[in-house]
Amino acid sequence: MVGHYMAIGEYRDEPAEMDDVEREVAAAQYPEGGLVVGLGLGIVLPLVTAPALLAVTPFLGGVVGFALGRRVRDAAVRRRRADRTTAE
Amino acid sequence: MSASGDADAATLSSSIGIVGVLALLVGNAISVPIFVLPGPLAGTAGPSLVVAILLAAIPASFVVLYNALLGSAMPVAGGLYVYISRLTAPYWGFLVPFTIPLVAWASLLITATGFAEYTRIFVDVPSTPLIYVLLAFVLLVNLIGLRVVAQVQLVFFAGLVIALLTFIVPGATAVDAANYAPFFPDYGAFGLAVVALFYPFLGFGLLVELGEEIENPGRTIPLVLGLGIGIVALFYVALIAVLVGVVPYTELGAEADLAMAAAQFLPWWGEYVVAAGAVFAVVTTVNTTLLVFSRTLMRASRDGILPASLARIHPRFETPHYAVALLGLPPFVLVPIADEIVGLSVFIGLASLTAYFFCAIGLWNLPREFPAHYANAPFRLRRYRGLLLAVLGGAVATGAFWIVTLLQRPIVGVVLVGWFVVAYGYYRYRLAKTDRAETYRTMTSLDRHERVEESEAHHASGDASGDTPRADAGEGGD
Repeated sequence: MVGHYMAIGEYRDEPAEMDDVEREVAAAQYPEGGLVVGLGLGIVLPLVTAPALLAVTPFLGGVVGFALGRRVRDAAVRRRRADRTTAE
Repeated sequence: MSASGDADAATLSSSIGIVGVLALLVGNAISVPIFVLPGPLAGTAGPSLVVAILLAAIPASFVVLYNALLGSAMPVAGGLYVYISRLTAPYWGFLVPFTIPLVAWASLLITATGFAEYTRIFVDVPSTPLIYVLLAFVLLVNLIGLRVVAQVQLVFFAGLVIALLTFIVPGATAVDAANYAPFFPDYGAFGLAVVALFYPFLGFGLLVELGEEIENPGRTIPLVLGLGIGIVALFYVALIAVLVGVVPYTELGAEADLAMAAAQFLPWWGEYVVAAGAVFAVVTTVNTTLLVFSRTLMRASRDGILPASLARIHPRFETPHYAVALLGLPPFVLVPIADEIVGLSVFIGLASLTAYFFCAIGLWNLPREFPAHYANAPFRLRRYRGLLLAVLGGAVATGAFWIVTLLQRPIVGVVLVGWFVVAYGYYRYRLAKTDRAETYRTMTSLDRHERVEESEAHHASGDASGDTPRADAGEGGD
C-alpha cells in the first residue's frame, strides 16, 4: 500500500498497513534514533555552553532529530523501491 | 534453541493469589524509601520533604492508572516492554529491557546500603561485607524462584508493618513543630527530592510485570492497585512527617536515620524494632527486584532483540537464570558507588517515569491497536477525557522531572540519554543479526496465547459505558 495511504509517512508506523519494503525500513527506527540523538545533543551542548538553555534545547533537539530521522526513513524507502525496480 | 522456540515452554509455572500479590506489591513499594531515602533527602531538602512525597505521588498515581488499565487489558509477562514496543514503537520498547539492568543495579546498591546501615545497629561490622552478603543473598533467592520469594515476602511484610507502626504512632505525639521551620531551606534540593521519591512508588510496576502469573488478573490488578496506593501513600506521608518533626533536618543524612529518630522518643528497644523492620523491608525489596526485571529481559529475549540465553529457564528452579545473573552480578563491582543514594534514586526515578511516559502513549493507542483487548478490560476511560488527561499528565510530569534533573543533577540526565544512544546502536546491531522484518513483526504483535478473540471482545463491550472500540479492526501487527 503506497501513496496517500502509506503509513510510513505518518506520525506513527502502522505495522499492519505496511508492505515488506516499509517494514524492512521501519525496523531500523530512524525517527526514534534521531530523536534520542537530538535529545542528547540538546542536553550536552547547553551543558558546555549555556546551562540555562537546558529547559528548552532537549525538546528542540528531540523534535529536530525526529524530523531528520523521518527524512532518512523516507529516503531509505525510496532507495529500496528504486533498487527493487531496477532489479526487476 | 531459538529465542522464540522457548516462548510457550518458558511461561512460568507459579501462580499468585490476591493476598500474595498485595504483600508483594506493598512490601516492594514501601520498603526502600521509608528506611533509606528520607534521611539523606531531608538532610538537604528539610521539612519540605513532606510536600515532596505528596508531589511524587502525583506521577505515581498516573503510573498506577497506567498499570491498572494496561495490566487488566493486556496481562502479559514483561509488561512495560511489551506495552511500549507493541503500542508505540519497537525501539522505545527495547529501551525498557536495555535500561532495566542499570535500574536494577542502582536499586540493589541502594537497598544493600540500607541493609548494611541498619544491620550495623545489631552487629558492629563494617558496611562493605554486609553489602556483599546481601547482594549474594538476592542472587541466590532469585535463582531459586518465585514460589520461595512469595512466601518469604509475606513473613517479612508482617514484620515491616509492625516496625512502621512502632515508629509512626508514638512518633506522632513526639513531633516538635519548631522542627518544621524553615520549611523550604533549599528549593533545588526540594525539586530533586520529588524526582528521587518517585522511586519508592515503583513497586506498583511489579504488578504488570507479573501479569501472566497472577490469578484472575482482570479483577486482582485494579483491586490491589487501589488498595496498594492508599496504604503506601499513608505510610510515606506519616513516616516522613514524623521523621522531620522529631529530629532537626540538619541532623539527618547520616546512617540509619529512622533508628536514630526512634531513639529520640522510644525506649531503648525502639531503635532495634525500627532497624529490624528496615532489614525486613530491604530484604523484601531485593527479593522482588530481580524477580520482576528478569521476566522483562526474558520476554525481550524471546522476541529476538536480546540474546537467546536470557530467555533460558533453569531446568530445576524454573527461573531465567542467565537474566538473573545479568541483573545480580554486576552490582558486586559497583559497590564503591553504593553510597550515592540520592543520585542513584534520581536515576531510577527519571528512567522509570520516562518509560511510563511511553507507556501512557501506548495506553492512548491501545483502543486503536488492540481493540479486542481494550474491550475486554474490566474498566476503561473515555478516550478524549480520561485517557487524554492521563497521557498529558504523564507528559507534563516527565518533562518536569527531566528539567529538574538536568538543572540539579545533570550527570544523571547525561548518563541516561547517553545510554539511550548506546541502546540504539545495540538495537541496530541485534537487528542486523536477525531477519529484521520478522523481528519487527514480532515486536509489534502479541504471542498467540496473549491474543483476545473478537467474539469475546464484542461480548465484553456489550454493556460497556466507555468508548466503543473499533469493531472491525484486527489485533495489530499480524
